[in-house]
Amino acid sequence: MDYNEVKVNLRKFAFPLSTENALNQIQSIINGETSRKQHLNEDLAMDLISEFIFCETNEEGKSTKPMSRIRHLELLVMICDYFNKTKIKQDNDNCCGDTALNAIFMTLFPQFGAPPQRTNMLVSLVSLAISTYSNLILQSAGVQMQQLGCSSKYSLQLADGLVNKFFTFIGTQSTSLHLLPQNAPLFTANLMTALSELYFNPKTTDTTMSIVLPPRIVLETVVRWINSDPCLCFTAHYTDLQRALPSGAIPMVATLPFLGLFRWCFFAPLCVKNSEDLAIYSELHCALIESVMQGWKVYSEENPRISRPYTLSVHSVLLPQLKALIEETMKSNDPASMYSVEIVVERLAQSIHAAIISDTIFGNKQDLVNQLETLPANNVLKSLIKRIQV
Amino acid sequence: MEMKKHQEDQFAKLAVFLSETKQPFINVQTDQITHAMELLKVLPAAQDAVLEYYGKFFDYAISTYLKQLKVQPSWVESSNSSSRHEPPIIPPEVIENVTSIRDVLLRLVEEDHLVWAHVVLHWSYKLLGKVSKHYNVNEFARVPLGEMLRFWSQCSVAYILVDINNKTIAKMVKAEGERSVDPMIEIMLGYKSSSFEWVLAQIGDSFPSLVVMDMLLYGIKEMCSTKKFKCTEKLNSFIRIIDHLSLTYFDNIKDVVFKLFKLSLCEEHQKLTAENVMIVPFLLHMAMCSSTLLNSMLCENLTQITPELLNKLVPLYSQWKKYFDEKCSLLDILVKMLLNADRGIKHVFNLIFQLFGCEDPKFKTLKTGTQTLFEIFLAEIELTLNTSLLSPPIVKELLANLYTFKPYLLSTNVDVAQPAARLFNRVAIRDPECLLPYIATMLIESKNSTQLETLIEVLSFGSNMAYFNASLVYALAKTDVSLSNMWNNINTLISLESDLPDGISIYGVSSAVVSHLDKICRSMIESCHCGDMNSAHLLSFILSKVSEKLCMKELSVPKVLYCVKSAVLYFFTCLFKEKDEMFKLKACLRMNKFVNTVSYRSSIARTAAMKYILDGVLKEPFSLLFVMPDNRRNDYIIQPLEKTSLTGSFFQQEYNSMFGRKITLKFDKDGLHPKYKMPVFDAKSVRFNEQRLVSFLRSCYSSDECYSFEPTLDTVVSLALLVVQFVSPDVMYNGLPWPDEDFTKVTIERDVHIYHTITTKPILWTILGILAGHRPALCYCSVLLRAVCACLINHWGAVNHTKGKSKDNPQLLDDTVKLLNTMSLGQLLPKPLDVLGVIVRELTPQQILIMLRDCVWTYTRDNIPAPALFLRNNIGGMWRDTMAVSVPKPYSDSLRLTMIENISEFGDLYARLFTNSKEQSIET
Repeated sequence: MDYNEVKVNLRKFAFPLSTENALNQIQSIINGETSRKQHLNEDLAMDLISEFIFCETNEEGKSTKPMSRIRHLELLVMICDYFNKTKIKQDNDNCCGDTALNAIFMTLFPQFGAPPQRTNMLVSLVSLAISTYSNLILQSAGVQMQQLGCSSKYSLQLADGLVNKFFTFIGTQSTSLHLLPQNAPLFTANLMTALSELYFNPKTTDTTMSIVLPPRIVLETVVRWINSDPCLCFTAHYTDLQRALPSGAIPMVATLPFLGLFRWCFFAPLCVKNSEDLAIYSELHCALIESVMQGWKVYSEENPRISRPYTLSVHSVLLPQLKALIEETMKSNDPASMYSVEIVVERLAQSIHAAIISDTIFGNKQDLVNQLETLPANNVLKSLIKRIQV
Repeated sequence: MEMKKHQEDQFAKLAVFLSETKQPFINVQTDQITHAMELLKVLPAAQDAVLEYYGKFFDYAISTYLKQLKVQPSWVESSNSSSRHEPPIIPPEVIENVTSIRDVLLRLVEEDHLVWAHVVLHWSYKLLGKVSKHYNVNEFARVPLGEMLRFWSQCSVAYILVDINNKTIAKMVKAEGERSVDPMIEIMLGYKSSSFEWVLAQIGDSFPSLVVMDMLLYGIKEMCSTKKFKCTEKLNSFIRIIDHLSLTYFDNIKDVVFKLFKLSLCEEHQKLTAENVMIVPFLLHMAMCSSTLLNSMLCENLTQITPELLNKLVPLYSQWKKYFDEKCSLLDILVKMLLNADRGIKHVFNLIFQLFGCEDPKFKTLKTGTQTLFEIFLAEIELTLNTSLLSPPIVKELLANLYTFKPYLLSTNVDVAQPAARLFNRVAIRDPECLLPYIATMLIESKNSTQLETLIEVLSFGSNMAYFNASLVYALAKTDVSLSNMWNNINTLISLESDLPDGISIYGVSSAVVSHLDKICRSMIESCHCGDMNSAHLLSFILSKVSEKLCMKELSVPKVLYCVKSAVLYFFTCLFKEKDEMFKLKACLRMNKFVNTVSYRSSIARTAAMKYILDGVLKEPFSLLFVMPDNRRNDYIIQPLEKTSLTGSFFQQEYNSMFGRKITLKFDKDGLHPKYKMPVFDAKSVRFNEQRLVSFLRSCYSSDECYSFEPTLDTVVSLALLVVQFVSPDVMYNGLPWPDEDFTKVTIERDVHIYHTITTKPILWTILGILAGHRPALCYCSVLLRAVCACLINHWGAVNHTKGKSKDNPQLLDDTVKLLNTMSLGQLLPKPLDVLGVIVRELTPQQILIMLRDCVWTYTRDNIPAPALFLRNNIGGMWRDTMAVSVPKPYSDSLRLTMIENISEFGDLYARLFTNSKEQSIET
């Protein structure tokens, strides 16, 4: 079939039939015929998506007015339907979803080449998928996030969009959020990694050193997720992406949420004043330590062949950032802030200790000791340093 | 499985919702609205769609309303006058749905404002913007804000929408504090089309301070980014909204403006953001564009701004500069603002004058700046008032508030008083009459040279001098203040009148003063009564200074009388009270001149003056001035005390008796209770007094322009008649003829009275002497001479009868000599009888008796001393030709014989008198 033929045929229909047909057409283009050259196929698929699915361009390829929100919702429902219709292979675990669907998802929401409003579409789609347990979409999204990197702009935008448009409107009691780790563990893990990058991160805010705090609901949800499954954080590490990707694609290395979430715990006593929130942070800290100590142990005993992941790295920018913040805090010199510093150092020592015990720390011992010695002295820290040096 | 079911459930709901959206709105039921709301809560992904759906419904509801409007287009026009037609009705079910949407949204906001308030606010704002724009384009373009508000307020659906908006804001403000809404409002302020104005006006009606503050901050931000003030469409729109709000929330606007202003005040300028620095220039620019803002600045809040506060702004000036260019400098803007200002202007000027009054060197910059501003302002206002017909609003306001600046006018600080004077002048260019009270106040209250300088500054400006007279009236009408200070000032002004540098003229002071002569005189009389010599002297200075002007004017009779009376009273009081001899002399000379000036053209004045003088001379207490200490007789027991009309009559006419008594007591208090004590005037002062009196009298009756004191006969005659009038107790027998000596038995009572008067007031002899000098005036006093003569005859008869000696009666002898000498001087006793006064001292009582009977009485009885006997001689005087008509023998024989009896003493005299005559020698 010729390109134009395909388009002309599709143009005979109106919405929603045109979209439905276009989806089928795209599926066949991407996953079916291999006779055509790959890049031409992709071009055609992109054109079809723009014109018939998201209606971003008209027949002549010029951009059109954005569609109405109701139409928007209709489209989302349709995509959800399309993904949910697909028969899931029985042997599939609930991590990676369907390879073909993943390919379609990647084409629908590519990292580059799509107009910016598509990001909103993605956020809405994921949000709808979470609410409606459309797991395949979530799994595809999880794969996509990992492929593009959890701290990439794409993932961060998705995470931020979800916080603004989904988390804030959903109460803590929402079952769909609770069930998310079961339904889409890879997505959940990657989402946590992306979220951990969003907050308490001096890097992300360029001009001022102001630090963004996560909303309460995000914090609580993360704690609940980690508590529900100590292995959850390692999901990205042990998931075999290769089979979830189209042939020829190279799986990307996983990033774990530990480093980012530990940063939350370290920064929180210095930045957060609300005692309720502080309690949740210490809960988060406990959950993370628990996860570091237990999660990997449990999993590696079952699957001995999997390589060892790293939860903490000596070379991360975390320690210098933390040091700067501590020094800033100590300037004020009042007992409350001194106490906070104490807590921070203790937490740091505990987490490094845990990582050492589970043997998931990366880096030179002496470098670590050198860095630790610059921090304010503390009993726990002292015993830790002693232990490292032994 | 449960999950699957849930999933299907959700999709089913979505499907239902989506299918509903495709139905026409007319069929929408209320439960559909609530269904949609469930989605809103459960499915965040559907949120946008649901809100859009709600929005469309609102849009539909408004469009049905507007469609009905189109059916009756006359409504829009008639709305101007009165809403005769009922506004079109929206179907109740639509209203119901709209209301339930509102309830749904507000409930969400109420449940979790942190999450939903922003969403709802954003939605309602967008929708309002869309609706206002959509329904504005065709029919209602360029409608004034008020019209637009009225139009939308008729539309209940739009009203509900605004209600949602406002309630959400209210919730946020309540739960999170005012500042939480700022970002939201700032977004709203980013609107493009003026059709949105009404929404902000509506929000502003609920949150005036919030909206106004945010609008101004928005404007400041804009100005910051463009680095230049531009009156954009947006700012105009803000101004329209603020104007609308000012009707109800003027106080809020005032507070906001002041709050904003305070933001720019900070001790450390490094801490100020660029936006804070901008505030003042921005506000000034805005005030130029909007009278509401201008008014909101010019309010009582200004009283909180002190020079110290302003001084903090000085360092910011360098940063402001870039926002003002040459075309429109800061000063220009301020002046322009001031010219347009109306309310609250007094606060501005209070501040300006405060700054002028600052001596502190740290305010120097500020002070110079203010002075420059003030100069430009004055020049501008002068130009405007002189060229254009309309007067700027500020002038009216300043006029109304002039009284607030009065203290500055009276300030002793030149830096304050001079500008104040100039301000008053400029403001009053059109209406100088308003200055009257201030000139009057300054006249009364000025105490030092600075204040007088200010007064002259005011008076010398333009035609203000023309109103000096009226101001004087104004000042004189004030009864509650002491005017002595004013007289002092007027005295200074009169002195300065002819002695001011070029360009400054207060010509006209003295003529104005002249027109208030009666007032001055009255004050003078009053201060004489009170014994307030300082004021009296002061007033006398004024009188003498303006006396030149008096010549030019025809004075009314009462004024003349007042003048004369006050002059005479002052003269006497001065003699009576003033201790300083030199001063006394000067004062008397001053009065001489004054009285002369007044009276030389007016016979009324002259007569009055003489009358008053005589009155004073003859009656208590001033008669005491002229009584020699050794010549004092305490005979008040015989006669009741007679008070001079200079004091007494005055009291009776002008004051109640109580007051009069008080003043009398004051005189008495000077240690002169008449019954027991005598005032102490030694001989020297009595002589002095006499001299002064004589010269005073002469200045009265001389009608000589050259001030040579040469009297005319008429005036002297009138004086003589007056003397008679005063001394003679009744009108009978005052004529010229001397009756038979026996007839004195009939008149003896009044004769005794006259004699007593003359002897107790020896000054009368002096006066009679003057009269005698001006022949034939003494003739008119015959009655007095007659009475004295009759009494003397009787007295000497008694002495003779008791064989007493003439040397033992020095008083009697003295009187006799005085009488004879006076008569001789007046040529009533021609040669040789004129020597009687010389010889009488050496005679016995019997001889004296004979002399008086034969030579004086009988002679004058037979030769009535009529003025007709006197002829004008070649040097202009009147003369009785005694050489031609000598005294017949019978009258002179007694004299001759008596002299012969005492020839040892009068030989020489006798020889000269009688032996030269042949005829006499033959007969002898």
